[in-house]
Amino acid sequence: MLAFGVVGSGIMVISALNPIHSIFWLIVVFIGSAVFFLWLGISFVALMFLIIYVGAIAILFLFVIMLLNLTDFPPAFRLGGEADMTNYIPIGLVIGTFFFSEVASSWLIIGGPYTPQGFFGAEIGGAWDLAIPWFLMKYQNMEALGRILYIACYYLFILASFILLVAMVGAIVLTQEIGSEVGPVVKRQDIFFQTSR
Amino acid sequence: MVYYKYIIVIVILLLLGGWGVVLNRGHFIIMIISIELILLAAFFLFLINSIEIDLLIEQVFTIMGLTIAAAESAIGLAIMVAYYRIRGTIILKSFSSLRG
Repeated sequence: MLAFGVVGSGIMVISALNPIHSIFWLIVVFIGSAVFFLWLGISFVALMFLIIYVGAIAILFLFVIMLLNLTDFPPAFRLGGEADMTNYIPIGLVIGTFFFSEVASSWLIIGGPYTPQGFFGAEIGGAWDLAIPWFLMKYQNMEALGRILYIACYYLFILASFILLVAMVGAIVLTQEIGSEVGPVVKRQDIFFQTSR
Repeated sequence: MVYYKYIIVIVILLLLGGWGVVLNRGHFIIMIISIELILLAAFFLFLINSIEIDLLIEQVFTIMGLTIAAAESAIGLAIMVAYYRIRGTIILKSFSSLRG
């Protein structure tokens, strides 16, 4: 039932006329996915999805749409004339053949989907020592994730913080007024001068 | 089996994202939204596999990917705002003038 809700909202995301409606359906998709994750027992990632996507990114999209006044811009496939997709047939055929051959080989050669007996069988399970089985630990999901994130993966944590810093600085630099704050001379690329020397 | 039902939902979400990119060419915001949908499907796949094989490291990977996705959408929207300030429109057919 929830899966049908998520998929239907996904269909509405890509087929909505107004971008604002599309963003609202995107919020519905993310809330449905967060409920999925809570139901599966992954509580921390579910809360992260709610906070980051619904609270930050969707509001960012809404602000940009209302800032730029883009609502009077019909999608390309409703204009009629621009829906000519016949020149995408070769690359679509190649990609479709690739994926279909992958699926068909998994069905015909390997013999259907993989059905696990236990977790990788009893004899292979000893080789996964780097895996921390978190259902065996007597922790909540959040507590176990905090332990593995701050102790084992602290380097990745610092790296993620640097990525966010770079993104913030990049967004600020990109949206500055070009020519007044950045500098008096905007560096431009003279293609004819470059190719003719 | 429940696992394959989740896989079906994930694959449908991912195909919807790709289809949205193809179908809404020329509409930049809906293309970014479709990319978010593809990323949601990818994280969903990671988390389902994390449940299935009892690894916690995939959830850490999902959080790192969430960071990358947030940074990516923020920079994409910043590029769009800068482009709109120069051009006055965001019709995607004239994006070839982005090379400077």
